[in-house]
Amino acid sequence: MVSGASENDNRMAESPTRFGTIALMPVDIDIAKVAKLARLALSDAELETFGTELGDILEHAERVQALPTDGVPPTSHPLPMVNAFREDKAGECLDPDSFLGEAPDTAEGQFRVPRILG
Amino acid sequence: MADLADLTLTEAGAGLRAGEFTSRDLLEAVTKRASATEAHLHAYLTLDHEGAERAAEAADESFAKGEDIGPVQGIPIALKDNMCTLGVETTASSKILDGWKPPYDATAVARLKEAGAVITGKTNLDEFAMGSSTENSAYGATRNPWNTDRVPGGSSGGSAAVAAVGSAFGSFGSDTGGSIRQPAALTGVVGMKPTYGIVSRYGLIAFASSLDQIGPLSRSVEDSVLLLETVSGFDPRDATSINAPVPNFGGSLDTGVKGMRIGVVTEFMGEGIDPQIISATRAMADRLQDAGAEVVEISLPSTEYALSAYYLIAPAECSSNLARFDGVRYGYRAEVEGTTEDMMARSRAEGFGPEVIRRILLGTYALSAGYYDAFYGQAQRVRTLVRNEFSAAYEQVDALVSPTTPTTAFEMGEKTADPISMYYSDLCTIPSNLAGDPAISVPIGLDDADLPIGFQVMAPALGEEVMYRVAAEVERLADFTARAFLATSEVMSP
Repeated sequence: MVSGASENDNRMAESPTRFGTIALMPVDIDIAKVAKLARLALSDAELETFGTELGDILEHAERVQALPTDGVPPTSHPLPMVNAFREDKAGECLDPDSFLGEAPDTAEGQFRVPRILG
Repeated sequence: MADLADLTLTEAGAGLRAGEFTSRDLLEAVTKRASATEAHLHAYLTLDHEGAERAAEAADESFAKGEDIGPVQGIPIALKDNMCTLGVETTASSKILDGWKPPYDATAVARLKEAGAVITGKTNLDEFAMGSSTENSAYGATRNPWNTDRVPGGSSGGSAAVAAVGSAFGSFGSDTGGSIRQPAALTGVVGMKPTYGIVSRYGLIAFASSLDQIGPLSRSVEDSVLLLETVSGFDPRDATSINAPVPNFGGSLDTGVKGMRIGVVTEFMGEGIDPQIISATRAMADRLQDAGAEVVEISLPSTEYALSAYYLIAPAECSSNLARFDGVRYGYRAEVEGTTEDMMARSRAEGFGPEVIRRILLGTYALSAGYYDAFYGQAQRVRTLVRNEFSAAYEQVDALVSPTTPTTAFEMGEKTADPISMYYSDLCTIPSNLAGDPAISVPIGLDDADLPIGFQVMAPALGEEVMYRVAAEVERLADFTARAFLATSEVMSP
């Protein structure tokens, strides 16, 4: 397994902020595992490059950990809405030919893919 | 007669109604402008000549019959290539969608067509709207019409360049962290991000769903209002669409700022911002004060963390949204011996460009077990703090103002090797996306390299009328009449 960000492993960063110096969580990236989770078939060289870049970006992004947020609720969405309902009524559908024609491979009115099992 | 392509949308609409020219004349003028500028700019990815001509003819027939269905009837308008257009190639500037023709129109596109607009074509962007320079396009970069060695900003760089040179009378982009306002600032046009939920996202190829909004780019504040009005309003196809009457956006354009309280954001007037931009912003704030507003300093300390929070939230959402591009239902499929999963992983690695891959990896990591709370969860709590600070500020002031960008247009290639320096381009624009509030960039002058400077006006959610009221006064005070070099007569009539 390739770890492109080995120089970032097991490192405890310190970030000076207006709230004082706060110990941050170490950025520990198993870049090959992340690429597999993301379904990206990257070469070893690409993993190395992206791993290093990700380490740098995360080092910056982890500054968010320096803000005290005890008791602050997360915002996942800017609107104070919980759900959007509509009447349970059948509506118009796209004609299958309109999108099957745009697919890389189809058969018998369905999307066709290579074998599923290895 | 002056070149029709130099008119604002409002002027073009008035001329159509006065019978001075036809929609076909307008289309011919912008098509000519596109032929003169595209070789230098590469702002358009697709020009839909046939569709545009049909729409212009239909508009002229309507006018001839005395039908008038609104301000964009017969007006040529361009669309960012991440907005789905029925039967017209939509790529989001990605190889993974090369050649894809959507089977439906985005709601915003459908509303423009229903309102009689003439869609000229699709404009270049950073792949999947990820970037701040329109250099991350699988089809080549767009250049800045003020200086072609410079970037036009991004990700809506094509839409901004088109509005700046007059190869359409206005355009639409999408803004996730500043992707409308930043390129508008860098190309000297007006660019506006609406309140989240005002414009349907149905048919906008998703980047970060809790932040994305479609909005207009134009050559005047009044044009911006007309374009926004055309696409706004509830859409049952977007679960985050606001189900309420659309507020009056342009009702106070002529009111002026007398009696208003306007806050200058302290954090965006110091370190990290070009001194020329700070002094231009300060001078405009002083003029707003002279025009009768009470201008005060407002500190928003959590904005210091907004950029970091954004670069966790946006990639997290993008890694989820872009999972749909897997070589099965549309777009690029890699030829591989192996299983479906092998095909998907290879198609994605070959089909996505480096910035998209970088953000998918970042988002996947930030959402993965063991890191979720420290990164994504914490970023969402910081988002709450940013929103709370904005809400508190709007108890003291009617609107906030700041520079739109830390610098004017930078050199092509200057930031491509350093993702973090590119991310800083969105420093002043990201907080409005996190808060879900409306914000607009208005050009107020040129720096000493003759590059445009943008001035940002922010308002609370659904405060578009207040935002436009201030923006209109800024536009009057700035009296910005300079034109991009590529739109000047020396280029137009060689």
